[in-house]
Amino acid sequence: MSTEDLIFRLSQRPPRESRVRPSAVLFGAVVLSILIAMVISISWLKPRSDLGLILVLDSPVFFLKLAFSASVVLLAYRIVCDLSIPGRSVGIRLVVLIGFFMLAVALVLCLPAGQSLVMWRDRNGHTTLDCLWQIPVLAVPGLLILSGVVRRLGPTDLSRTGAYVGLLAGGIASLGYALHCSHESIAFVGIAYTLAVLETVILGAFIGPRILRWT
Amino acid sequence: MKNVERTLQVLIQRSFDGDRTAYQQFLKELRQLLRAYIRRQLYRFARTDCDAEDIVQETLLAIHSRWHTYDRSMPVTAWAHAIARYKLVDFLRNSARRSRDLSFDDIEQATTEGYATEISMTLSALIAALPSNLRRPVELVRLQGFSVREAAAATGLSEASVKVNIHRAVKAIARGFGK
Repeated sequence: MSTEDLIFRLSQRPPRESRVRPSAVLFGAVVLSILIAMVISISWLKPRSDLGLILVLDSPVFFLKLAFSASVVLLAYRIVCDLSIPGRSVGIRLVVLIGFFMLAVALVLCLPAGQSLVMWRDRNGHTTLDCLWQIPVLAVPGLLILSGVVRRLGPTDLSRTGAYVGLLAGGIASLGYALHCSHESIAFVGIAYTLAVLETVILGAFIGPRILRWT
Repeated sequence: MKNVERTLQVLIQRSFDGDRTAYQQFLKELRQLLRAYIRRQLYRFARTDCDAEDIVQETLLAIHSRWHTYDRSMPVTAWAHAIARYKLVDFLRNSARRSRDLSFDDIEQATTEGYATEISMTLSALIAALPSNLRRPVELVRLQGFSVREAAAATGLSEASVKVNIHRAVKAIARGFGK
């Protein structure tokens, strides 16, 4: 078929302007992924025993975990929105992300003296290692849902988009994980949660070119 | 360039109102831009053996199916070029992979089998080496006898895309035979 014929055929069906913005579609996928992560966290990992009393107990670390996760979600959502649209430049510079992770690294300095990072236990015996594999597992449904939605949009830089979809899914998973996690240390949140989210970023960057490719 | 952008903006607004002629004109204007861009890039990557028109067609099809990602606030040329760049990279990556996959099988078959078998096996190898979006329509329509409409339903592509992909697959196969 010549290009002339193709143009004639395509022109028989002029496009309609979409009323639903891509950011709204993506927002719906984020909300769905958060709900799924929370349901899986509650049914699989079980919520922390004092979750019902959290407001009474006045636990600032619990809210810090929620704030950390929510800020990752918001940041990643904004970037994924931009990367899903062909030709749109990313509004947030890489330096912001680097600063974000540098802050987490700085928290390593807050580690209590003689504390092993890997075997750092909370009062229920859960270690950092548990966090490092449970958050990525919780992120898998979100990663698949978000990848499906982003693929239907128009990502043109697949590895980069995959990495940020991984960041978004990781942030969502850590929101769900916060319902279960009973560590009461700011340094733990900064280190373990950041490393777990980084795992999902690497996973996203790796699978991005395979599952985000559109024809 | 500003004039082109303005013309395209006007044409696409009329297209959104259902004006087929405006949309046809829009696609023609875009084709000129894309063809020049893709030729330049193929030259830059020393891949002048590739048919720029194939990539232009792929890009036009992609643009037609991705209007839901177009945002009025951004230049339509930037949006279209980003899609063209994506299609170009995809095409170059696939063509590099195809040429790698073919070499050993072809040589072995040509030296050990009879002529008819050689043709048949080369054809099978060429079809197998096609990317899935080209291979599936050819297998369904040309080898298994399904209609274009049935193939479109089975692959999730539009009927126009199925026809274009078959045409492109046949060209790729012909190139594989050195024609």
